[in-house]
Amino acid sequence: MVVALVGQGCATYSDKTEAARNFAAQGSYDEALAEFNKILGVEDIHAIPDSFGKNSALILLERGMLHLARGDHDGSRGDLQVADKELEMLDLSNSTAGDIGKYIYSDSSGAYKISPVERLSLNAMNILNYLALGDLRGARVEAGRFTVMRNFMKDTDPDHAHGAMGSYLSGFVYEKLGENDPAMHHYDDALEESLFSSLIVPISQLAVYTEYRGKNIENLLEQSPASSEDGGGEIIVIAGVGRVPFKIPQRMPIGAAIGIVSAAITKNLAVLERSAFKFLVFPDLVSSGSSDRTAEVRVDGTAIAMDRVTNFGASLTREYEEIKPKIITAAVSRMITRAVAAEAARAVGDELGGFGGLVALATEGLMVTADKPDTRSWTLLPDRVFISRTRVPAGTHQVEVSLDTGEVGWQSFTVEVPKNGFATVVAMPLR
Amino acid sequence: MNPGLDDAAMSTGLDRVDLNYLTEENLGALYSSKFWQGEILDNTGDLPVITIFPIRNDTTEHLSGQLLTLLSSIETFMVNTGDVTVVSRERQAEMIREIRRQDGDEFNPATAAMIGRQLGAKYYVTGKVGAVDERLKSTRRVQYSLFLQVIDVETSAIRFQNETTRSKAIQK
Repeated sequence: MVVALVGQGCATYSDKTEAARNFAAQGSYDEALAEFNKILGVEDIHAIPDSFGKNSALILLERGMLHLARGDHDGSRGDLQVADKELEMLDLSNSTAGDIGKYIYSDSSGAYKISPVERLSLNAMNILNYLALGDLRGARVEAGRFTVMRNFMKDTDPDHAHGAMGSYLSGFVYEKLGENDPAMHHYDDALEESLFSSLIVPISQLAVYTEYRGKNIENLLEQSPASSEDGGGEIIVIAGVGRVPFKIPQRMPIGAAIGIVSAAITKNLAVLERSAFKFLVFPDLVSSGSSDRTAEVRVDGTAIAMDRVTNFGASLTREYEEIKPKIITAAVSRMITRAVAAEAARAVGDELGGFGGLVALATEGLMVTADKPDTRSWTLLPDRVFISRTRVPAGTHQVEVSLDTGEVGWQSFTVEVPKNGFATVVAMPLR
Repeated sequence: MNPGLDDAAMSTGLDRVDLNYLTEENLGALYSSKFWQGEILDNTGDLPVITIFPIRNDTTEHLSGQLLTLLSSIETFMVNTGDVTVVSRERQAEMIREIRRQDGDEFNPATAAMIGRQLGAKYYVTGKVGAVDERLKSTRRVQYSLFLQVIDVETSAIRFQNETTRSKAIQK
């Protein structure tokens, strides 16, 4: 009976979205979109649900990445924008009901709250869409939204204010709009995480027009002094490789769990001795299966160096490892709550006719069935993102991108670069 | 002064009430300005031709729809005064598209003056919506400002400018 009850537990987020993830991994984007639309309760691939459930914003983030992979930047822009607003409202709203449910039953009973790494990725991804659409003003809005969140993180949680990709792309947007000070400021932030070789020429050219010098800009300019522009145009290539790790329900023997978190548990653990369930289920992070690939780019047949501007997979893993003790503590607390309820039921059952053991088992089993680990996360983010930039004469150019995915091989793009302008190529197949 | 802050906001975006407020305040200032009362109303020749250029969005909200509404409001005000001739925005939008196609460039003051001359305008109206956007632990506040300018096409002299502000906030 116990096994049957556990087996009947509600499907978790990773269960419900497994088919969509598998389709996405195969490049079957239409089928993946259909799966996400089933969860959203809409038919059209661009439809927004009339009312939002607790996971709707997250599903829109996932669907937005599928649109991006298909090259439907307008569709992706729309989904990410709606999700952004919804998540902001959730973040600032009073969610008392969700908090109560979270304690007694399940981590996944409340509306999805986006993690810091995901939060800083959201606007960076949407900058890509606006750049690909040739809408610099729209990209500037996203850069502004990214900046607000990054500043907020810097103030409140500086250890997690990672955002090299967002800073890099925001700098690019401001640079192309001729807003040189904010461009340099963002580039300085991006350089905080790594020295990106693709920024050497742009920064040395920007340095002619602005006095702004951050610590990292100073260091870079020592190696490459200010130089004037060449009158040509530029091609920026942004390539996403693989998919980030995602969460699945994992079982852990109760003894091992208590060993990890005993210091954090203030309740009486003795009640667990009579518990019929000797393991707890918690959300564990697993690899998406995309191997350690890299990206290559050729412009008119010449290989161009690429900078890895982010490693979302590693950042999310670090984020998860930091909160793992809290996740397990919460799971143990819920287990104790269930065991206490079972003991109360046992007492009542014994009083009424000596079948307390059966009542306790049923009570605990029912509560276990309702308790599902929170496996929610933005599973279709790329694992790593690479950027290359190259100066070219105005006119038509051929760009080839390889993401080392074997079956995809080299993807070819023809771009038109205006004088003093730029062209954007985005390749993000989620494989 | 933040007249809308006491009203429950659905979001920190600019809604119709905000736009009406910002537009009315700016156009009221324009109508009562020395420029309008003097150069426009005291003008004895043909009605001066005015063209209205896009309002730039420097905020952290996507406002394309709202900015079109704003342009319509300015156009309606100008037309209904009967004091000026307003160039059709469709004609002007065609020219802006053409310039962007040729130069791949952003619309800027230099192109605005050039287009203004080609349209036979004496003045052009331009401006931007700006924002100071702050996120605190339990609050997000956006302070919007609508900055409106009327510029002489021939001399690029600023004949009028005004700024109106309005704040929106979501609090936990």
